[in-house]
Amino acid sequence: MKTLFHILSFEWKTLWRSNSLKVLLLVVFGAGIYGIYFGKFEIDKQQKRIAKVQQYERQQFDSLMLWVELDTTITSNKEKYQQAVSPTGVGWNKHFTYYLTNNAPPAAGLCLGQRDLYPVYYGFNVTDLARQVNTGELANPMKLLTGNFDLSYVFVFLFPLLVVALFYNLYAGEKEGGTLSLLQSQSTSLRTILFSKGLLRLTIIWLLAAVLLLLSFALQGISILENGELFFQWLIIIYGYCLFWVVLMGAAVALRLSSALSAMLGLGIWLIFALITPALLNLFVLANEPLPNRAEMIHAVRTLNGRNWEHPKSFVWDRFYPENPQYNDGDTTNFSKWYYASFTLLDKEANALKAEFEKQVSKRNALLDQWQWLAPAAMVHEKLSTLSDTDRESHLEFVKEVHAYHDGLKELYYARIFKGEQFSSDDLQTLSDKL
Amino acid sequence: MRKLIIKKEILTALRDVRLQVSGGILIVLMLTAVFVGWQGQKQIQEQRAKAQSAMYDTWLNQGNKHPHSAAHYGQFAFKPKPVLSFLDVGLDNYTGISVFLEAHKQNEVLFSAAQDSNGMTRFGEMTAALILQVLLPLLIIFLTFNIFSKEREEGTLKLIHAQGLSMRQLFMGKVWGAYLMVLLIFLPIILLAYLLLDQQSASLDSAVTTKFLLLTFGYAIYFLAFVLLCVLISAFAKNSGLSLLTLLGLWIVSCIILPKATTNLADKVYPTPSQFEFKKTIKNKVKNGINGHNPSDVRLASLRQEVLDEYGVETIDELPVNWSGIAMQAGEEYTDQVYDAEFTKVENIFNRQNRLSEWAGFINPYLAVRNLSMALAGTDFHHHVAFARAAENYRRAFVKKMNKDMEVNHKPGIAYGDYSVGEEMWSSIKPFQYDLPNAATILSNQWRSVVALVFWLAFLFSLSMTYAPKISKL
Amino acid sequence: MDAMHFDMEKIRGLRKYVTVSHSNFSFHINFFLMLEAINLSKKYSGHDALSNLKLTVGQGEVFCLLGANGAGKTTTINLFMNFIQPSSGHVKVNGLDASAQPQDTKKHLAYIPENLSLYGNLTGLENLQFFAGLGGEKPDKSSAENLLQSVGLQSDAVHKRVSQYSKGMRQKVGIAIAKAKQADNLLLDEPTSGLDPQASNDFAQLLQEMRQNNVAILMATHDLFRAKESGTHIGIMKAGKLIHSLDSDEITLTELEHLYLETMKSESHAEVNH
Repeated sequence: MKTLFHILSFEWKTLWRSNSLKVLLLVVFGAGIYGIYFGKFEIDKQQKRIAKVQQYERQQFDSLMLWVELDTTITSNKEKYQQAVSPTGVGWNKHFTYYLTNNAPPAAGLCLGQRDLYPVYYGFNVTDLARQVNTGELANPMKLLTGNFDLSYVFVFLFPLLVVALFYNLYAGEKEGGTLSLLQSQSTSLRTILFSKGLLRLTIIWLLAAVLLLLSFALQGISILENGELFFQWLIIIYGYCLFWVVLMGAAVALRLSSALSAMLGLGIWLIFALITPALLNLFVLANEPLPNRAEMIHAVRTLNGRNWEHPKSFVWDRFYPENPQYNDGDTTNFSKWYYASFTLLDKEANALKAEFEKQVSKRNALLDQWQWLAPAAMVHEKLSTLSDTDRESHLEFVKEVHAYHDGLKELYYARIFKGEQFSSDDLQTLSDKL
Repeated sequence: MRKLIIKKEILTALRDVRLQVSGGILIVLMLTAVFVGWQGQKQIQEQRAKAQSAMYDTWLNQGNKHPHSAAHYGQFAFKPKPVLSFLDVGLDNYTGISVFLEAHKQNEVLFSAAQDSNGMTRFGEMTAALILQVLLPLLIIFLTFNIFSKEREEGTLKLIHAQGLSMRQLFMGKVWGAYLMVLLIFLPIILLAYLLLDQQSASLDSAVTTKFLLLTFGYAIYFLAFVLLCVLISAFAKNSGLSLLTLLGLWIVSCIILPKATTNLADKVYPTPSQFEFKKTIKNKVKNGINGHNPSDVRLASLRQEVLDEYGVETIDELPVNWSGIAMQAGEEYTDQVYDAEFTKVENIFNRQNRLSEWAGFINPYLAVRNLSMALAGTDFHHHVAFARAAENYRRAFVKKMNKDMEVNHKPGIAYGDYSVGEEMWSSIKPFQYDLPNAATILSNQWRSVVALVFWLAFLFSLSMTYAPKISKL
Repeated sequence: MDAMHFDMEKIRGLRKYVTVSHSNFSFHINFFLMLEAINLSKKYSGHDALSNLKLTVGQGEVFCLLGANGAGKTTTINLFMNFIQPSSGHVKVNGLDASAQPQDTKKHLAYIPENLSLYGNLTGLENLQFFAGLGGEKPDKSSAENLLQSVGLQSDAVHKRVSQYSKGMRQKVGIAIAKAKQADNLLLDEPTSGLDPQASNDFAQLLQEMRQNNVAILMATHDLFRAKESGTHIGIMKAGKLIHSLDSDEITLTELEHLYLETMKSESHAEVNH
């Protein structure tokens, strides 16, 4: 133990006084800070968009709230009043859009994950959701391809390089520097000496990671008090990941190669785990495992829609009323009721197909997950993404929320439509509270 | 004399076990990427072609209905997978693959592969491009980092110089020796890839051979420039260790860090608008007129008056043609105009962003070759936009035809449900046909990258010739 | 409790010191041989680096191994240091077998390699403290300074970084490290190569000091002059064999030179005739 500290204190002096450590730490630290700011910038951008969308929705609804109070004896107010109270009228459905937004979870700025691939808001009305969620956010595919330079990227990609840079010279440095024989002639074994040197380097790396993580929480305004568990989960994962790389480099160093060869070996290992295996996995799965043809869903919806219009109304009633008896008052001629009933059928058709597709996709992604351990960098990044709620699952959760919200809206709308009623200002208040 | 140097360089390289191992690994990776990629590309292309023809069949077999209903029924356009995309997957996993074409709506090209995959996709796909652009340069570094410094450290440099060989000759001898080694790995594989192309490939893209040759040429320039850079650094570095560290540092910065930083910066400098703003603007401009002074009801009224005047009647019922057909087509065309203007704005922003990384090719040759490779393989942004435009033009054409038929043949007074057409009309719309841009278009889009590559070659070459005599032999 | 030293008969190449100490009325007799090579051989595929070496270095003796490159001098040193394992035979340090008990034997060995390198970014003082601390007790600042002074390192150099030292200065630090260990035995590999005459002289004086402190010293060197001057015993090696082994005062420098050259010439002739 005493020997350990003895070696640690002198090794620290040597390391610190050579400029290479300072440069390395500065570069990685700089990259980390850039990553933190980039993550914050992207999330702020998304949040601004969300705010705009919500503001627009609120504005629109506020005018409706005003219009419902208008004096309809004045002719010019009649149209506006109608727009406010008619659940089926052109007012509601063509000119008012509901929005549901996907607020950035607290750690999203640390690991943007897949958040840039999907929209963070959906606009829709009470017609069929199927034809309204097929939309994406405007994004330069080049930017999606090159990816995000956020903190998780620094941890997953650059920290292993830091490990390689700090460890490749562990043995070779002593040998090529000429101090090896003097070390070997001491009564402390070389193994102890090398282990101590390695331990110091691991400590430095861990310290840098902790500093960056703390800074990231501070600079991005994430409260550690509220997200303590998240903080520690991140810390443990990153510490484990660094340790993994240190062990790998330790094995490489044990081969007692020259510094150039050790560096090449370390870099080779990094290439294999961070670049080559994930790319190979993607090649085998992306290029060769078929994805469902999602256009089929659009095709099914448009076909059914065509059929709904071509057949007599009973075509829709026969499929709608049995599953929704609460709306069945025997009416088979009302256009609005038929119109809205058909939307439910379209959604049912689309959702069935979607579920089918999702099963296929899950099967395929399970293949990737199965072999993920071959690509530890990808595995760790995925874990961080899951922790930050920015993975694909999180988006699917959001889409589920959209469906649930839409269903909730439908309940209120259908209640009025199928009774032939209009919205009261209480109804509007209810809807407003739901926004 | 130079032949001796070249021969010696090649022999030492071939005998170096480490190079044998890493070269071997690279070749295996290349073969895997090329073959598996080729399989995958064929499979995907087949899938899409099938889907495309199946959808066209549904169009043909939709039965008898009103032409406007057919316009609502719509068609699909599937983006073909470019033949050379197996060499460079480019943006293919991040752009949509199909678009629904219907009346009154411009839909987006949807369903990118990345959206249906988990986070692993973001780590890229193993393609020949990845290997040639990122891994082969690393091999070049391992091959050449001590090509000069080792000789200096072992004292043989003094001896060679004493034999009467000039540093320039020695320098170029080493460059050619190393370059020939690179070509030894690169050319056979690329030839193999070319042999995979067949009749079908030529039918899908008539310019495929030209693009392939240009691609090969582009990579050849990239490798030569890189070899020159490495040998230069080895010649002037204080020792082998520093040479290796410098080259590795440059590689990491150019191939790993800068590409990300460049696109990030581009997005900051030319911010991308949101979908919300985009749609809202279009909606507003359609409603209120492009300049805000020509609202839709006013446009409609003036159009009505125009048509009435044209046919010399007072009311719509007196028209010999169908007013709805005319009105709807006018609406379509106005919306198209607005959409075109807004979409072009967005496209320009993306182009400006991408141009930044093309200009960055002048400080980072990796970016130059990457952009050129993507473009020639048919997987860059321009290709995606070309498809989107072609699909949209197809949509406008068939919707217009449907509306025209309505205008002319659905006589006023007849109910909507009583007028219908059948397969004869449907088959008059030819299936969606999309031709990939030709090589000339691609090169004109990517001229910055081409110039950057040539610039790097010329620059490094002249640097070498100027400074080679100054190489220290001690 | 007096330790009585008996001088045993001088046997060629062998000196035994018997230390007798008594405490509590019991007598212990230790036969204390310092450095011993017993039928030591090292074979590599193709050639014999060392063949059947027998030598002993006792307390206060300075045994100088002379020979050309590849004669086996460094191999011998490396075997004593357990950097390599013998093919046959034994190496003993204070009675302990070097290959069987490497860590224990190292406690009794101090070593200064050829081309001594230290940590360039540490000062002379820090280097001393580091290496000495590895060997046992880390000397505190003042004892380290004293130690460096005692080996002749200028006081203003003590706190400068070793990257700025001359070879002679580095060697002084090496000696200080060896001294700090207070080991009974010292191994030196080409200690005077590359030293200017002043530094070489300083080194010789330090060597005498250590000899007077009863350290057993084995030194591999090219330097005939230094070998004659500082050595108590001289051995001439050729092709892995110890050809001659003689007391230093049995021969003059000129004679030594003559003997050395003859050995190099004649042995090679003999080998050719084989």
